[in-house]
Amino acid sequence: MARKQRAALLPTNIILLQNLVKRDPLSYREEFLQQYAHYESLRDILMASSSSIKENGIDEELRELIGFITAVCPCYKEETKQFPGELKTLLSEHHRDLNPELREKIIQCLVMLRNRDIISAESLIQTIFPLLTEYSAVNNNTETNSKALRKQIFHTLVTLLKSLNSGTRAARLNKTVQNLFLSGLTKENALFVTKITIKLWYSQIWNDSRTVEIMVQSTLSGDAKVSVAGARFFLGADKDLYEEGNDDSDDEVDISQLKHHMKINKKTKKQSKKFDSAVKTIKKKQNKDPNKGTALNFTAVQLLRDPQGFAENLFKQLATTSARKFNMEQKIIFMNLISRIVGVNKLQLLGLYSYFLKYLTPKQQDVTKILAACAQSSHDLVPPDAINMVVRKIADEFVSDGVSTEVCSAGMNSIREILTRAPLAIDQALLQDLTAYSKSKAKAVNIAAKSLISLYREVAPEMLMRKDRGKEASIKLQGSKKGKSLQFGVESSVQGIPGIELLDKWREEQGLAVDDENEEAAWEEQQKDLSDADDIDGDWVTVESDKEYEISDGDDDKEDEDEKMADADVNDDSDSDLDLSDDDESKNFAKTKKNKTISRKAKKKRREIQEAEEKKYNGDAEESFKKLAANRILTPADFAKLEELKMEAGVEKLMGIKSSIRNEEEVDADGLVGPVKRKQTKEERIESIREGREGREKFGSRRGKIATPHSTTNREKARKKNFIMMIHKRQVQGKARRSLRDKQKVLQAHIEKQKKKGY
Amino acid sequence: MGSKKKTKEKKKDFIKQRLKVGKDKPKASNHTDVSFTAKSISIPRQSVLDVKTNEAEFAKNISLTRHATPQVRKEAVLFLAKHWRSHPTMLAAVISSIAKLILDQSGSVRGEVLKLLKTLPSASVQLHYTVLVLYVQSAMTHIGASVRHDSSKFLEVLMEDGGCGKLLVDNHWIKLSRCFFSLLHWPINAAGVGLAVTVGSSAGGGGGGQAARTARVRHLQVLGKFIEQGAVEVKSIDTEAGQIEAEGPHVSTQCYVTPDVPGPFQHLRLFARAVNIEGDLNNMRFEDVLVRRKVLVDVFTERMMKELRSIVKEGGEVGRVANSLSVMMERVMEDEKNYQQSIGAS
Repeated sequence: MARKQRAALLPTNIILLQNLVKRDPLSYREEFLQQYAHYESLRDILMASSSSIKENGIDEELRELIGFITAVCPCYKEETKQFPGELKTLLSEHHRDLNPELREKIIQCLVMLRNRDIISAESLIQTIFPLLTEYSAVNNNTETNSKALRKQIFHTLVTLLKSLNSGTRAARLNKTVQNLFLSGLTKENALFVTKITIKLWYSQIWNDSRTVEIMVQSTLSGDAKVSVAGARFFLGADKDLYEEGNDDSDDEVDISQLKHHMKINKKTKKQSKKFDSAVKTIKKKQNKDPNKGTALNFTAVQLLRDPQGFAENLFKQLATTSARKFNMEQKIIFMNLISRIVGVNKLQLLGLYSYFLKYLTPKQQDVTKILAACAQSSHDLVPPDAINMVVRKIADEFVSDGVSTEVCSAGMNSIREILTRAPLAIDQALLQDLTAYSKSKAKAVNIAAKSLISLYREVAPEMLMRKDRGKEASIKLQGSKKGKSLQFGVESSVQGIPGIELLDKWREEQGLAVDDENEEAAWEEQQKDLSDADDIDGDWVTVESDKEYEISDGDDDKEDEDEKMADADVNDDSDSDLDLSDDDESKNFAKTKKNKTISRKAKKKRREIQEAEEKKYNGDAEESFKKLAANRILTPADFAKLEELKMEAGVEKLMGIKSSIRNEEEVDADGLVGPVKRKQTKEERIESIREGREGREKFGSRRGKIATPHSTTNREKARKKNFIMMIHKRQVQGKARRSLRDKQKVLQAHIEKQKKKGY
Repeated sequence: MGSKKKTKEKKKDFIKQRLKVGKDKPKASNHTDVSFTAKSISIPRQSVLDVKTNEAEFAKNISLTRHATPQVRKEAVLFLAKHWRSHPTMLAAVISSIAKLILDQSGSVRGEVLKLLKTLPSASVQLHYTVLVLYVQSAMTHIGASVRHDSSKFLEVLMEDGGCGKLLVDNHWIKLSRCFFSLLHWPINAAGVGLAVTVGSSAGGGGGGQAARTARVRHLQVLGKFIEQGAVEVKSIDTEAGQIEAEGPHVSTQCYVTPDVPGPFQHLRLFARAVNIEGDLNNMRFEDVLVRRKVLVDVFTERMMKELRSIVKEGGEVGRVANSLSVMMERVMEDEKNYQQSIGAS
C-alpha cells in the first residue's frame, strides 16, 4: 500500500523530483536517468543552435536541470562522472554563447559542486578566473552583464577563500591563488585582482608579504585606477570601504522611547543598565567620523620586501611624463604615500624634495596636503641641503607680510613640522627671520612662530637670537661652553639606558648608599623567576640529622667580613650552592653572584673618590649612565623603579615636549593652517545658529501650551474653582479630620508614587 | 519689482567668494563638468520607408512562435502552415522555429506542428533533421508526460513522411534506443532491475489513464518501425548490389563518390560546437545493419524481451503490438545468431 502511495507521488516538476530523489535515490534512479538524458539532449540542442541560442526556449529548462543534477550529484556519483567536466568546458569554451543567466547558474552550480567536494577549489578558481579577462571592463563594451558576472566571481572567490581558511590556513591554495593573481595582473583584470586582494587583506585571510607584493605590483601597474587603489590601500584610507561588520541598522535604539519606558516601567538595575548601554552606543556612533581613518596601513608597509625600490619606482611613476594620466588629487595621494614610506623607513630619495618645489605655491590646489607630504618625507638622515631647498621655498612663497595670515601660518607650521624631523635643514639667518614673526599680531602666525622658537630651544638654542633662547637654554649654553651642536649623521638618541638619570637622581635624593641587604632583597625577585624547578630541587634534599652542614649564609657573612676575605667567601658561596643542587641554572646563579661581589668590591673602592667629588650631576643622562654603570649592576627592583620614575616624568613630558620618534607620525594637513579665526559675517552667524538649532526642539516653557487640542478637563476646572466655594466641602475639610493612620497611608502612597515617577 | 527669490539670486552673484588655502576654488555657477567620456553614442534608426511587406508578415509569424501565449503560438503555426509554400527561402527558419515547439507545453500547438511537419517536403526535412531529432530526443525524455506521449508521433512523422529513417538509424541508433527505453520506463542497466518496477509499472499502466495507454501502444509501434528500419536486413540486397554495380565501374566505387545524403560527415564534428566527451556512445555513427543489429542484441534485447513478455500478458491492443514486436525481435536475434555462427565457421 505504501508503495502505491509513493508511486502516486509521480514527479511532475524538477523540484519535486529533486526532493524525492534526495529521500530515496535508489528508487528514483530511472527518473533521474531520464532527466539526465534530457539534460544531455538539451545540451546538444544548445550546442547545435548556433546564433539563436539566446532566444530559444530551452534556456530556463536547462538551468533548472543543471541545478537539479548538481543537487543530486552526490547520490549518483557514477552516473554523473562527466557532469562537472561538461559544465567546466561549457563555461570556459562557450561562455560567449551562453545567456547571462545560464552562465550565472553554471558558476553557482560549480561552487555548489565545490562545496560538496566533487571538484577541487583549485580547478574551480582556474575555471572562473580566466573569465575575468574576457569580461573585464577594459575589454568588453558590448556585453551588458559583464559587471554582474565580475561581481559574482568576486563574491565567489572571497567566500571560497574565506571558508577554506576558516579553520586552518589553506596555505597551498593561498599560494597558488596568489601566484595566479601575480601572473594575472594584466591590464584587463588588474583592478579586480587589486580589489579582491584588498578585500582578503581586510578580512584577515591574507596577511603575508606575498599579498603585499601583489599590492606593490598593482600600485606600480601604471593604470590610474589600479595604482590609486593600491596607494589608498597602503595609506589605509580604504579601510572602511572593505572592512566588515557594518552593523548599521541592527541596533537602532530610540533614546526617547527608552526614557519613556524608564519613567513608566518598574525601575530595575537591568533597565538602567540597558539605558546606559544604549546611550553609550549612540555616543559611539556619533563620534565615529567617516572621514577619519587615514592611519597608515602599518602592517602592510612593514611587510614590504623592498621599501627603497618601491619608493623609487613610485616616484618614477609620479615624476616622469607618464604621470599625465593622474589628476592632481591622485598625484597628492601618491606624494602622501611616498612621503610616508620614506619617513617611516628613513629612505634616501633626494629627487622627491626638488619635485615638491614646483607645487609649493599658496594658490596650488590642496597645497596643505603637499606641505604635509613634505614634512612627512623629511627625516634626519636626509642631507640637510636637500630639505633646506624646500624650507627656503616655503619661506619665500608663504611667509611674508604680503600674504594672508592663513597662508603665513600654514607655511610657518609646515616649516616647523619639517624642522622637528630634520632640525639641520635651516640656516641661522632664516630661522631668526622666521622667529621674528612671534611679534605678529595675527594670532595664528604668532603661535606658529612661538612654536618654532620652543622647538629650537630644545634642539639647538644657539641658533636662536639671544632673547629667544629662554632661561634654561641660556644657562645650559653658558654652563658647557662649547655645547653639543647638531651634526648631520650623528645619532642624537640617548645612549645607554633611557631614563637612567632619573634613577640616579632619585637614589641621591633618597640618600641611598649601596645597601647590601636591600640589594639582596632586590635580587630575590629575580631568583624566584629564574628557576622554580631549582627551588624544588633545593627543597627536597635529604638532611641527615647527625651530620653537620656548613651552609654559609652568604648574605650575612659578607657584611661582616673584610674585603680581603671576600674572595674566599665567594668560593664558599658558590660551593654551598653547588652542594644544594647541581642544576645548571643554579650554577649560573652562583656565577652572577660572584660577579656581583666582585663589582661590589670595585664599587666600594670608588665610593670614597666619588663622594669626594662634587655632586654636580644634574641629571645628565650620559654622565649618570657612566656613573651608575661603573658602580652598580642594576637589579630588577631598580628597573621597576626606573619604569615608575619614567612614568612620572612622562606625565610632565606630555604637558609640553613630545616624544623623539617623529618620523613615523602623520602630519595633519588640515591642522597646518592653524587656528585662523576671522570675524563672521551676519549670514555666517545666522547659518551657524541655524545649524545648532537643527534637530532639537525649541527652547522655552511648555506651560500653557496644549499638546493635543481639547476642552478644559474636570481636573482643571476643579483647580480653578473659587476657594471659598470649596472650603466647606467634605472633600477639603475631610483632609484635616483624617485619622493619623489614614494620613500615614496617604503619605506613604504619595511617596511611592513619587518614587515611581523617578524623583 | 521682481520676486523675492529672484532678487536673492541676483544678490548672490555679487557676493565675493573667499579663497582658502589648501581648498579648491569654488566652482562658477555656470560651470559645466566635462570630465565624462562617452564610449559610444547610439542613435536609434528611424525610417519612414519601412513598410510591412508580405515577407515581413511571414517573418513576424515566425517570431510569434516564441510568443508566451499558447493560442498565439498555435495561430502562428497555422499561418506558417498556410503560407510556407510562397516563401521557400524561409523554410530553414520555419523548421528551426517549429522544432522548438516539439517541446511545447500546450497539446494543441504540438498537434499543429505535427500537421505542418507532415506537409513539409521530405528533402528539406532531411536537410534540417539534426535540429528536429535533437528536439525529439529531448521530448522523449521530457518531464512533462504529455510532451513525452507525443514525442513518438514526431519520430514517426520524421521516419515516414520526412524520409529520415535511414539517417536516424545511422546517426542516432543508440541514443534513440535509450530514449525509447526511458520512454517506456524500462531500466537499461541490470542494477536498477528490482527497484524500477514500481516506477515503470505505475508510469506505464495506471499513471496517465487513457492517454498514457494509447501513447504506450504508439511507442511500441514506433519502436517496432525503428528496429525494422535499423536492424532487419533488407531482403532485396541482391538487387541493391546490382544497382551499385550498374552505377560504377567497380564494386566499391560508391565509397569514393560524393555522398548524396545531407551532412554525411557530420558525425566527425569538424565544424560543430560541442562539449567534447571521451567515449560518448550516443553520437556514434553505425552505417552498417550488421553492427546495429549486434549492438541491439548485445545491449538491449535481453531486457526488452523480458518487458515485452510481461506486456503481452497484459493482453489487449498493447499485448498484440508487443507480441508482433517480440516476434520481430526473435527473428532479429535468430539472424544475429546465424550470422555469428557463420563468422565462427569461417
